[in-house]
Amino acid sequence: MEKRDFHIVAETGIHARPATLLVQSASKFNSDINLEYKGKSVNLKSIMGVMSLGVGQGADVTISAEGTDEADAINAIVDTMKKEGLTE
Amino acid sequence: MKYQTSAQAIYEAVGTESNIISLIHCMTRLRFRLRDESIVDDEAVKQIPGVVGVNHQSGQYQVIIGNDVANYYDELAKLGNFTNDNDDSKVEESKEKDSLFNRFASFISSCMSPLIPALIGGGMIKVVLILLPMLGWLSEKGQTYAILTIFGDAPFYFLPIMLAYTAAQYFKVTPMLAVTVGAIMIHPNFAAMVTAGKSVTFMGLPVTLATYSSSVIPILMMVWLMKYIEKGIDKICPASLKSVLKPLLVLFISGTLALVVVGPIGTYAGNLLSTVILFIQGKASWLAMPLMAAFMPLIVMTGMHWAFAPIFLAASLAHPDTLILPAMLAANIAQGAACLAVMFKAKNKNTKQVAGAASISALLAGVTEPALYGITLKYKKPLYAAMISGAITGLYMGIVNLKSYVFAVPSLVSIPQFVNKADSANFINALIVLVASFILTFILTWIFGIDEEVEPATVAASTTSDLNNVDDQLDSGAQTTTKIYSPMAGELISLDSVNDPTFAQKMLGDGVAIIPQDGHIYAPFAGTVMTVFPTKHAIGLKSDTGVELLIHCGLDTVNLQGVPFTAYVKDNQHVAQGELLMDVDLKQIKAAGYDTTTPLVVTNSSEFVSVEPADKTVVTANDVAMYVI
Repeated sequence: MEKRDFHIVAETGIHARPATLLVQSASKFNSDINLEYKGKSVNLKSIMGVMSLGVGQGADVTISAEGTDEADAINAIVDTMKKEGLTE
Repeated sequence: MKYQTSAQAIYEAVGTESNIISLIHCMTRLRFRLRDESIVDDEAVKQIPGVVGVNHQSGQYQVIIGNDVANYYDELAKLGNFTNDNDDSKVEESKEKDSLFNRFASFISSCMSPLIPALIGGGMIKVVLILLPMLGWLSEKGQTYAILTIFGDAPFYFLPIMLAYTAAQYFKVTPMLAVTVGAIMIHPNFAAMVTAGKSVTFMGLPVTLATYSSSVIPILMMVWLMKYIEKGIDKICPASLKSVLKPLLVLFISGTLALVVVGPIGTYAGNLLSTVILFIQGKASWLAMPLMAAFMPLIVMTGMHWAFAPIFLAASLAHPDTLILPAMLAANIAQGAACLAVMFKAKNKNTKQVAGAASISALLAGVTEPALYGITLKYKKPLYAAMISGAITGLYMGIVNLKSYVFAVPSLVSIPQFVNKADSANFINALIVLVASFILTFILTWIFGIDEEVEPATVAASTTSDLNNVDDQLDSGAQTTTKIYSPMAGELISLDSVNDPTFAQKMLGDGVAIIPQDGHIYAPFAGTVMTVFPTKHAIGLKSDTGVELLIHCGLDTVNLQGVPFTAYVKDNQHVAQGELLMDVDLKQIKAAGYDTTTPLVVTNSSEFVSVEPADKTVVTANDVAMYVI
């Protein structure tokens, strides 16, 4: 299991466009990938799940991946996070 | 008219008859098998009114229409001669679900239904032939009468030939070879041999002298066998000689089998039935009649009543028939009464007309084929009603020992066949049977009702999911159609015209958008609230049919931190379509400088074939905003 913590700096938090891109990059992998925020964990491959967390600016979230391609998955997600300005 | 125009356009777009191998339809789509799918311009097909999408799937070119697909199919069927593609998989499936009798009944009625107009035509001519002499307008001895009789008889006499064609389409046998085999069975020279009654052999094999005219089952059995005969010959026949050798062998083998094997099966079954019934009648006559009267429709269908021909053809004052003709009286009247009830009960205009004509033909002329094949066997419940009524009136006939003194096909008109001056009670009993059979069957049919095909136009929204289930069953694993009602009143716009690339580029999924007029948000379908966003500017729902829909109220309104929104539902709550979910203060959103455009996005649209916006610009919460297929 690969785990990574993120501090969200984007003004709108994980919403709409960045959320979609996160889901898209997570969906490319076989691993089970989850996003955890305030004790609630959702499937990062579900747009509805991710958006429902309402992750805002300044939030701390944890993304975990478990499966054969877990390392690659986490790396791809980190790239997306940075590219979309969600995290620094 | 709209179906006709669109059907014509679809027909041309898929390359007309020359490119169409077959066409079937399920609850929502036309499913073509095409010789070449690549010649079809998908975009052009999508532009045809009524078409909501196209799909290439498992060797089929599917044109997605919606619940009124049958109307388009009917129009298409008129344009070309497409063999119904009876997918083996589909046949397999229906095998699992239906009882043997139901499968048999639907097979018979699917072979029979194209023949119904001919049978009704013949039946009505027979009615005219009864009425005209009664009015004194036509002599029964004249040539006009004789020729009109030929008109009336033709569709019944040549039933095996016509059935050969429809059965060949059902079993995918070469139609004209099957028709030829049907013609062999009723060739006049063969009929003459049967009439002559001397034993006949064919290459040393005994040929059963059976009458095949007006029969149903022998030809259906034959065509079913021909399916295997053709397959076998296809395998062994060298390709270079196929065009000559195959028809030769198929005709030779099938013709032989028809006269030597299939003929005897029917005849032996008939003789066996005759022996059993006569035995029962000898022991307990009250028991034989209910059986005969109840099962008469099925006995006539198999042609087994011919085994009793010596009894009923020779009916006379000295030797009255106490079995077949009385049973036919009850059975024929019951068929007529059942159809009359169906005529009053049915909603479909065409069904009403067929039932009315079939009823007249059965009641007045004793011609029950249109009734049996057009109505009662098709809907089954009227057949059960007629059979129950037959059993009850049959019991009465058995007890009073009703006698027919003349051979005539029993009907209202031929009721004098039961008159005997020496036994006046007999005629009274015949009238009692007639009236009782009519009333009983009518009432039973009325009570049982009919499971009429649902007319597409009258399909209520609430039944859509049922229809979808049927669709699902028809095409295991395929997608269903979900209607997404507009959650808000306002203007319906396409998703790509939304001023936010995330939505406009359909990154979240496909959908539509509403520019709302008022701030009430209603549930767009029956389903579960997946999530009310913490900032309440959006709500995620999952329909009972599996569609995930995001209603995102306004653009970038996440920044308002929930202030203008009031939610009335909670996560995981089940809602009915039309239930109030949320109120939004649109003025406040506008005042804060945000766009109130509300995208409706199917976030799992990749799991579906197509998301199709409704063809409307102004919607209320009662209008469908899009279809997810």
